[in-house]
Amino acid sequence: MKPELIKKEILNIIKKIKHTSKISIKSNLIKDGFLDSFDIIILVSEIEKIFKIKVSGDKINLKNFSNIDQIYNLVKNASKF
Amino acid sequence: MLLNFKDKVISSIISVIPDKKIKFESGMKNYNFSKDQNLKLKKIMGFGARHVAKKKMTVSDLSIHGIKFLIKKNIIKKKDIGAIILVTQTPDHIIPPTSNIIQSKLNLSNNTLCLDINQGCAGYLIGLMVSFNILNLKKFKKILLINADVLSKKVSKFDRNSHPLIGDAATISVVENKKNEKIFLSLNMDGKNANFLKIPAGGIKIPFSKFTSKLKTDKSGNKRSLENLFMKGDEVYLFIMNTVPKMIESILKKNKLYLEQIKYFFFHQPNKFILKKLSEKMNIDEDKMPNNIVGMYGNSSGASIPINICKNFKKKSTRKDNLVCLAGFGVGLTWASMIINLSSLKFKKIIKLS
Repeated sequence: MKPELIKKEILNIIKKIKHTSKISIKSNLIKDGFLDSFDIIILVSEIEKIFKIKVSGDKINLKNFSNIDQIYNLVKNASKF
Repeated sequence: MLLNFKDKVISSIISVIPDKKIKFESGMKNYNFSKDQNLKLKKIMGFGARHVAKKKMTVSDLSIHGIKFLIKKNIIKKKDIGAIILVTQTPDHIIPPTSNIIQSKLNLSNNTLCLDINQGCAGYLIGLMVSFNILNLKKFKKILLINADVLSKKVSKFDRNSHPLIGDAATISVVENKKNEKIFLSLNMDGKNANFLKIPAGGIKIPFSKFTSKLKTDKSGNKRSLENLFMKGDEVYLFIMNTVPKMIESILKKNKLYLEQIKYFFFHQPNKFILKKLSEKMNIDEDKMPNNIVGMYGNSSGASIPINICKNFKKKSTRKDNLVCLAGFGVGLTWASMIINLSSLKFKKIIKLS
């Protein structure tokens, strides 16, 4: 899957979780208040299911979910199952 | 720090759960989340039912109910109880110690040592460490280690960080001197980050007042007062992920043990998500690290490990197959683990108090 497609898919997942279309690829997801720690837990569960990966527990922190690029890096570096 | 103990056993454990059961769905409307988000979290975090103490039910009520059951079933005789070690964050009063109240209501001898310890999720291991050391004095035959909390009384129903998971319980473990394999304990504390888990008001520093009872809204929409439990969820999560796997790896390595030699990993159960991530990180099969307690009874702080043992431990006839690893982590901050053989555990039961 191409990086752009993965990022688009991540964006769609977040929009669906948050029931909003206001989020964009450039959004700062934490600073702008789109994601809090519980949203991140739901997001991790969704991306693990959709991309068939396991996100390492110690990588789940606010910094690694601050924007779509960071989340993409997590997906890219996660182990497949 | 790493410690070890010789010839100490846990011979019985009883868990006392309040009869009052609250399902996750009944509190959902108070959390600042959509129904859809709430139901997703329910599944991921393992929010199911919590058992909570009735309005007037206290730590001493739950504890006495359990101890009377042990006496009635002849698991322990009053005359053999050398000490009551109570680990709690929710004592009946600030003064006197709740362990003395328990001693009095059970008519135990004046030679009984009564000791309250303020500890939370690692409190089972702290309590065992203290019990083992007291047993080294030889004068003491058996110790009742009580881990009990009614923390639900201190949680705001509008706080989705803690309200959906906090449950109440008491466990009583009978600890005694008996031949056993060496017990290993790893224990660490970090008071610098003690504010991650805190009830700010109600002590001497910030007494109760009109001001402390006022609900305030945080940036995630949770409402709580200074009299409620505050948990900085993201920091606590990171603390657990950054300390627990390393601690387990280290206690095994330093004592020349392998993961495969441990039959169960009975961990404190804050929520299913954390346990799943811990088991993934440490390559431990989920069936060796049970995560079913938090969804059945709630997170009951220091009582959660002994409840976990009561519910999930299946004793085998071969001694080596009863080697388990216990781990608790939370308030303090504190993180601790213990490797102990449970072959001498002859009685375990979960009972209710209505």
